[in-house]
Amino acid sequence: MNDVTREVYRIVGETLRVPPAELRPDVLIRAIPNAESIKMLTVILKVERQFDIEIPDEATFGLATVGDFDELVQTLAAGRAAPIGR
Amino acid sequence: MKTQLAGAVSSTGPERAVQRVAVVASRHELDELSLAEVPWPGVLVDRVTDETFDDYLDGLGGEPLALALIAAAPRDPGPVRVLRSRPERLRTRVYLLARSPARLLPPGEDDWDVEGTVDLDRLPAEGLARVVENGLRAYRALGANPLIAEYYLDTTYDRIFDWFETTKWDWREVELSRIRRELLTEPEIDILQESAIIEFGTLPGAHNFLREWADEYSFSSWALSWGAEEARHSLVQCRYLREIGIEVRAKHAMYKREPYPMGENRAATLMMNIISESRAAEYYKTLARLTREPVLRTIWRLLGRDESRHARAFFVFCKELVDGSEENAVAAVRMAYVWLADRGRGVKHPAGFFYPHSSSTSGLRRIEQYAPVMTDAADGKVLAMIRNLLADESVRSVGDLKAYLRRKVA
Repeated sequence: MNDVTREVYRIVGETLRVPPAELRPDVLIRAIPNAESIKMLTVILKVERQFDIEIPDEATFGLATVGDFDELVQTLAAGRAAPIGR
Repeated sequence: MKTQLAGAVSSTGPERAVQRVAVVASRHELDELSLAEVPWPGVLVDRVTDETFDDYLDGLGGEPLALALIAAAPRDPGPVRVLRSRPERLRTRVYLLARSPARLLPPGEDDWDVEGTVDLDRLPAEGLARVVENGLRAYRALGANPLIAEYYLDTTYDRIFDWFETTKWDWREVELSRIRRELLTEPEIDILQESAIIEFGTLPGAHNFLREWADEYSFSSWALSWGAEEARHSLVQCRYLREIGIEVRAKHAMYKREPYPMGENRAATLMMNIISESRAAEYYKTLARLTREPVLRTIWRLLGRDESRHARAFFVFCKELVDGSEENAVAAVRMAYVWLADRGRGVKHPAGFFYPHSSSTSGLRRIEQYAPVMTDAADGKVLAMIRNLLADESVRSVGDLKAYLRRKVA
């Protein structure tokens, strides 16, 4: 688990009130008891702020699993960081 | 000032919180008034002389004063005037204690919002206990909703009532005996049944409004009118269907009877309804344009007009909340973003969102697919209302809502 994943899981866990141990890549976001749309929007806004990224509107409500979300954040964060690293 | 805690406090919950009562009188009268022996759980009694009442109120700061029992001299409401000159003490309930209540207040000066007068010479056996009990009940009934004004008619309900009342449609406009069955298409009949069923979802919506707005009367009163109008929407469409030989099963109304979870923020709840009413308005208006059957065209045109009025009324109540609170503005925009952005799996509407076991979800999708551009038109109107709510002309898209949230939430 890299730093981005750790942070994504922390924000998801804190916002949706899920113990970190229960969050795995294959967990369906819609199956998490507190993951209704408004709460998920809060997760998105916090993650965007944390990594200085912008998650597309169509992705905000279309993500299936926690792993999908993590992967999207990894990609967006890498894309943002890439120009700085080059 | 002397404070006595009369009785024990068994809980710190809001309904059992300590409530402060001030007994205000001249030094001489205070000695004659005995209150402490009455067991009033959770009531804190302060005994204050009338000369020091102003200082006493200063000393309370932001602490609530539930009740003031004021032994005023005949024709001199001095301490009452002191109390009422402070806007933050308008909720404090007042009883006047006197030996000659009939002469207590001068004519024309009885608008000090006094609950009643107590004749000290004719007190019943329980003394002032009943007065305190009634006073505290009155204080609790007032609640803490900051939108409750001093006078009944100073409400949004009164401001929009005439507009709302005079634009109602009349059943005589709907001539079911003149239906031309041969002009109806099968898809139209299908959509008509779905519309009638979806409208059943407004009944628990009305239940929820009354629960969520339990501490006021302005929006609640309007919600009764809204609910009554919405109930007609199912009825008129079911009656039309009966005329053409189709009965709608009662089970659809029963499926939607159960209440859904209460919202966490009223401005957000209102925003959800602004969106659903705006979309419903466009659906009905579009359906009215497309049908060739004149009676159905009239019905859908009237219902479209109703939903449009409803959206605007919800907007007025939402603006009232948003104007006084950035927290409410953010909550409303969050809700707007979720409902406007999340169209990937079909349009959201409370009827389909809260009642997935009924046919509403698939029914809404069929209605949307019948004329897809209408949702775009509706959402454009919602964005215009949000620009007005936020006094921000730059909000033109769902992306702008997200940008607003990033600025406010981050």
